[in-house]
Amino acid sequence: MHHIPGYVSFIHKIATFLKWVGALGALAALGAVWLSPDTRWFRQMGIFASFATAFFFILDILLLIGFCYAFLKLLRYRPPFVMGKRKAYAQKNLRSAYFKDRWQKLTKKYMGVPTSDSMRLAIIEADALVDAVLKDYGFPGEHLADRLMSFTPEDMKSLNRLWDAHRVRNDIVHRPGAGISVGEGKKAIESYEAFLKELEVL
Amino acid sequence: MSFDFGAIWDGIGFVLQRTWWFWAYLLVWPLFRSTCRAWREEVYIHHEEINEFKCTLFEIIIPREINVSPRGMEQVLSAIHQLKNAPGDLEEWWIDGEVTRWHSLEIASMGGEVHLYIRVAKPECNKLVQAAFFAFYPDIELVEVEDYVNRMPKNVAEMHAQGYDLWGAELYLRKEGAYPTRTYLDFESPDEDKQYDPVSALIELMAKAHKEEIVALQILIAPVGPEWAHVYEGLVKELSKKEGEKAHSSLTSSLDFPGGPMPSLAAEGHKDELGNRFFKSFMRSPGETDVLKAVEQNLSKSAFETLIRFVYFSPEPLFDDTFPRRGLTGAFNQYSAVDLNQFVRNDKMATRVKLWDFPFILPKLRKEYRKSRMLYNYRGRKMPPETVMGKLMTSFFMNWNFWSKTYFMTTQCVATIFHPPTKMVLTGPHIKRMDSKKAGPPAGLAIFGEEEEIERYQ
Repeated sequence: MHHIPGYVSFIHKIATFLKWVGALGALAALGAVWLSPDTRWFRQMGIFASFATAFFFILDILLLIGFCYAFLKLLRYRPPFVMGKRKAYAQKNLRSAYFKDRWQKLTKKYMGVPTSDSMRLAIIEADALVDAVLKDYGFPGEHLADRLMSFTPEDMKSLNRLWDAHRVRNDIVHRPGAGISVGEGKKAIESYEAFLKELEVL
Repeated sequence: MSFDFGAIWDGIGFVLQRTWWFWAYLLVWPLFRSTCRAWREEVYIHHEEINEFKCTLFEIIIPREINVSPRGMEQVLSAIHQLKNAPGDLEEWWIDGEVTRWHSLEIASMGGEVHLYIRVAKPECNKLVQAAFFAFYPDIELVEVEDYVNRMPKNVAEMHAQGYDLWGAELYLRKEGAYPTRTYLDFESPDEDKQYDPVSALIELMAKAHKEEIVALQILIAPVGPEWAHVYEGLVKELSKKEGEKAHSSLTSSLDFPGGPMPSLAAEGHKDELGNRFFKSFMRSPGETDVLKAVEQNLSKSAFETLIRFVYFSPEPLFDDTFPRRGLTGAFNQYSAVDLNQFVRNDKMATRVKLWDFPFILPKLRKEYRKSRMLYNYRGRKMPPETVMGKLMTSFFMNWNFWSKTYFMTTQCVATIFHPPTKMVLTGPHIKRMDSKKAGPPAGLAIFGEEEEIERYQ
């Protein structure tokens, strides 16, 4: 099998190109001389030339009008791209207003006159609220604990505090007769609040 | 000899002055033709109430076990191929703006649950497609469903507001469509241990999507007439040439003016060292023979103009573009045969832009544009416009619509990448199936009811 090295075919291509340019250039020069005003062959064409001029002139105008019309019509079919800003974890949309509202109601309801019982209910509700927020953002998992696996303490400074609060909540829910002091309860609620603030929901 | 350049310029100016109308015509006519055609095409595609480009999406619900090999799907596709339409006369071309309607074969995974769909482009054809399916897959059910793309965000702004992100790309063939990709025949074997169904890789992969993610793939197919094979006649001739008479041998002679009207630079072909050209001229390596055989066989089938496109939606915290970028392309890599053909990702359409890509500015903005186009194209099942003006007018300064590529694929190749998974595929955990076996009533059973009611159950 014989092989032609790359540079040979490259040189060959350039030579071919130069040949074509030369030949066409010579042809153009000859044509231009032949067509020069001295020859004036064109003026001999008389009536045919003027008819063709008129015909093509009208045709050109019509095609131009047609082109403009179709162009304007075609504008309607441009794809409607609507760009938006990327908002990684925080979304300032209607739903975050909804969560904010829920949080405010919660604090109003239970934190006005804090008792051991109201703290218990507040913690359970706050936990559910955080879970709903994360679910809404699309974090995978069945329970809050699963969803929190998506985070690392580097992502969220308040993560460890949230884990503590979540453990308190689990204790309340799963151990019959578990009670907590008002101080412990307040600390847990503050942890939930810090987490939500870091998520920029509040 | 003095040469008067001034006279030449005067001459050219004189000729232009007298003949400008002709040159203007040469300029305006293609402009008008392209724009007008682009406009009518868009009208044809978008206004289904006038033009019947109205699509129905069927979900393919599979039974517990399918014993039909992908050959069955090839038959179905051959039947679908016959629903081809094309502009036949001037009215259809200029006024209706008719284009060949394209169908779509789709696989979508909604949070790990895989669905197979077929989208038929003309309501009148629904029955024919159903008939074609039932003929080869009697246990399959085609159910008209609401379009699943409605679950996707409408545009990029909405997508980001939902906290989602998108990755999408198109695939094209590395070589001309005359070269086949690997077909189902390559995966079949009389020995049961050596049978594979390549679709299983795709389905397994798509089933791996998280609960919140959507992965979807569409294969757009527009039938082309039998003339598609003629395009490649030259290729077949070239392939069937014997060693020694291949293209470069023309260089050896300076008499046949290889590149122009003037005598050529003499570039002598290298003589074979042993000088036994006679022997070599009868030789074609076994590999070359196989390629020729595969190409000729491929050209004997009917073909579709094809476009494969996939998208992946995921919430931003979960977003991992390795999954679609490597995984899905990997699943398609099964079909690649390096001597024949293989699927390549169309990087100019993929939603990945770096600063180092031409034109070297605003990579983030260009990426958002690409996402927009990908989403828009996927939702609308868009084929690239035919005309230059159509492409130009759907372009944006930061995102030109010239890179989407279609290619020819035969019924056999399409059937290999899309068919109801055979019994070799573990579909149980991933795909919703029909649990009972179907059987029709005995023929000639008396039916009571109006004509309309009976038609519903046919």
